[in-house]
Amino acid sequence: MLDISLKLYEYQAKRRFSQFSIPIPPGKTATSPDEVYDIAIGLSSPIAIKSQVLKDNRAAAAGIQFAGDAEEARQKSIILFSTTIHGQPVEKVLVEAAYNFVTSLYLGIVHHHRANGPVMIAALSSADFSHVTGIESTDQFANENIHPFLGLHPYQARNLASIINLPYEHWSAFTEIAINLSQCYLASDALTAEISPLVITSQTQFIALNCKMHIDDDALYRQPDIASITQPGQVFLTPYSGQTRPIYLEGNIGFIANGSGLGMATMDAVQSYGGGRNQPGCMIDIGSEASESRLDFALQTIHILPQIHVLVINIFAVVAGCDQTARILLRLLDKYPPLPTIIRLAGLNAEEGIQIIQNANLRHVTAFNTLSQVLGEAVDATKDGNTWRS
Amino acid sequence: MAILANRSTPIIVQGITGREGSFYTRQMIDYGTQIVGGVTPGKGGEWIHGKPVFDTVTKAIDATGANTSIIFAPSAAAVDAIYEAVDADIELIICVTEGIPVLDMMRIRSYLQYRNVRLIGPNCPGIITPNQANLGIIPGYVSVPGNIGVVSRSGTLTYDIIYSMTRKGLGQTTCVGIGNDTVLGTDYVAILHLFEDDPETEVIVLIGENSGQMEIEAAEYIKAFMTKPVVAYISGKTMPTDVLRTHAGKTTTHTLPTAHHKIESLLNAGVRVADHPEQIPVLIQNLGT
Repeated sequence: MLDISLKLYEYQAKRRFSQFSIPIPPGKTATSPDEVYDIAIGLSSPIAIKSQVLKDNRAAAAGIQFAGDAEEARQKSIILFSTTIHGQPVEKVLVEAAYNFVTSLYLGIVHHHRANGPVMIAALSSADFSHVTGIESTDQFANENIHPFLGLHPYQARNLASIINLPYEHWSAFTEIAINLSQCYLASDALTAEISPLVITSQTQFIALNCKMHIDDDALYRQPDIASITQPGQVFLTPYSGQTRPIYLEGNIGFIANGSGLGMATMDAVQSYGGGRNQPGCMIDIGSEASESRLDFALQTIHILPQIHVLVINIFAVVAGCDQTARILLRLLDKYPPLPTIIRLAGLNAEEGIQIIQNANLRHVTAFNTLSQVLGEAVDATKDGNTWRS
Repeated sequence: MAILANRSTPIIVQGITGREGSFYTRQMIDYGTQIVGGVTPGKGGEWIHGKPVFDTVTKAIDATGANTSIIFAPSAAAVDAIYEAVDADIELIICVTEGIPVLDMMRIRSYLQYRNVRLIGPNCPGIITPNQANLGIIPGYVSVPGNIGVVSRSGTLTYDIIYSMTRKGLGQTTCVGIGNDTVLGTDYVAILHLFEDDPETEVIVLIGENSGQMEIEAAEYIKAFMTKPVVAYISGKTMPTDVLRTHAGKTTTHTLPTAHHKIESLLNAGVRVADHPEQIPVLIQNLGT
C-alpha cells in the first residue's frame, strides 16, 4: 500500500507543534552531559531528561529521568547516554522543565481507514499514557472526523471536551489546542499527530508533555522543513507491503519478487509449507519491470545478510520475457557466492527462461514454472543447503 | 458487455508524451484500445503514435469526444491532472501514478463525492476488458474473454493469477486493478456492485492484501448483497501485524485487521478463499459441484 511513514523524534515533533502555537515545555536537546548541565541551569526544577529514540515506551526502559537541579541532571544523563533503548543507543536527550499536573489527557489525530480520513481522538485519564491509535479502540474515546479541506471545526472540539467531561473552564484553551493540532496535521502531511499526555498543570496551564508525529513520506518533496531535519534511519516502514524497500523479518529465507503482493504470496506459501523451520528473513520487491539494476540491488542486499541460507526468486514476466530475465539472473548470480537459489518464472517465454537456467547446470540454482514446485525445494534447501541437490 | 470500458470507449491519455505515457500508449494502441488523443501542456498540435496531442483536457474532449482518461504523470502533476479531468466532465479516470500523498487523495475523494465521475487508482495497473480495451499497464497477453470478473489491489500478483486462469480456459469479462494506496478513488465494493449487475459476469475473483480495511468492507458487502459466487485470495499472512496500544486508564492491545481477519470475514460471507494463488483456478472449477 501503502504509506511508508517518517517517524519524528519527540524533540522534532514538539518543535513542529510549537510552530502551530501548541504549548510545549521549555527545553533544548543535548548530546553530552555537559550540555545537559548548561541547559538545566537555565530551567527551574524539577527537570526532565528524556532519551530521544524512535521506539515507544521509554519509561519502561528507564529512558526518562528526573532531576532536582542541574548537577543531578548531568549525573542522570551520564547513565542515559550509556544505555540502549529497544536497540537504539541514546545519543541525544531532551532537557526540559518537568511539571506536576492535576489532569492529563490524550489528544491525537490518526488516519482512520474506514473514514478514509483523519480522526481526532480525545480521552481524559489520570493514568500515564503511551500512545493511542487503532480502529476498535476509538469506540472507547471521543472522536471527530476531520474534513481534509476544512480542518477541525470549533464545535467539534467542544463536542470532544463535552464527551470526555473536561470541566468547562478549560474548554477555550482545549479548543485552541485542538484546532491548532488539526492545522498542524494537515499542513505537515502527517499520518499521525499525538499529544500523549496533554496535561493541565497546577497553574491551570495546558502543556504538551510528549508529542509524536508520523509524516507521509510521499509528501516529503513538499515538506522541506521536515525533510531537512530528518536523518536516514527515521523512515519507519509500516508493516505493509514493501514497495521498494526491503522488509526485514526474523527467519532464514530471502525473497525477491517483481511485485509486493507476489512477494508476500510467495512468503506465505513457503512459510506454511512444512511449517516452522522455513521462516522468511527478508523480502524485496524489485518492481514489476524487474530491471537489471533493481535485481542487482536486491541480490546484493540478500547476500549481505548472514542469516539468509536460501533465496527464492519469483518473477512474472511483465515487460521483458522470462528468457531475457533468466539471462540477466545468471549473469548477476555469477557475481555472488553460491547460495541455494530457487527461481520461479512465469508468463511470457517461461519455458525458455527455465530451460536457460537449467542448461547453465549450476548446482545451487534451479528454476520452475509454478510456486507449488518451488515449495518442496525451498524447504529441502533450508534443511541442509550442503546436501541439497547433491 | 464488461464493466467500465469496452472497445468503443473513447480515451485520452494525460501525460501522453512523457516516458511512461508514451510507452504505454503504444502498448494500448497495439492492443486495439480506442485511444483518441492525449494531453501534455505545451505540446498541443503535435502528434504521437498517430494520435493528436492537446494542451488541455477541455480542448482534447472538444476535439475527440473522449469521456475517459488515463493519467501517467508524476505525483504533483497527477493530482492536478485529476482535478482537471474531473472539472472537464470526464466520466472515468484511471490514475496509474505511484507516490501521491495521502492528504491529496483524501481531498480528491472528498471532491469527487457528489460528482458523476469514477476514479480508479492511484498506484494502480488499470483495467482490461480482454480483446476490447486495455486501459493502463496490465500486460495484454495474460487475459482472455470469459465470464469471470477480477478485482484486485495487487500488481504483478494480479497478472500472475489472471494468467493462470487464462491458461485453464477460465476467461474474464473485465479485470480491475483498484490500486494499492491508503486512500483510493474506488474501493472493492463499488466494483463488486458493477460485477453483480453485469449480465456477462458469473463469477468474481477478489485479490487482496493484509493492510487496511477494504477487504473487510468487501466481505460485509458480499454477505449482505451479492448473489454471484466469489473466490478470493489474500496475501500477507506472514507480514508482521501492526500492533497498537490504547488507553483509558488501562492498557489494551488492538490490532488492525490482518490477512487472517480478512480471510475469516470473507469465509463468513460465503467466499471460497484460496490458501495459495495457484488454488484459485481449482476453486473456480469446483464451483457448483
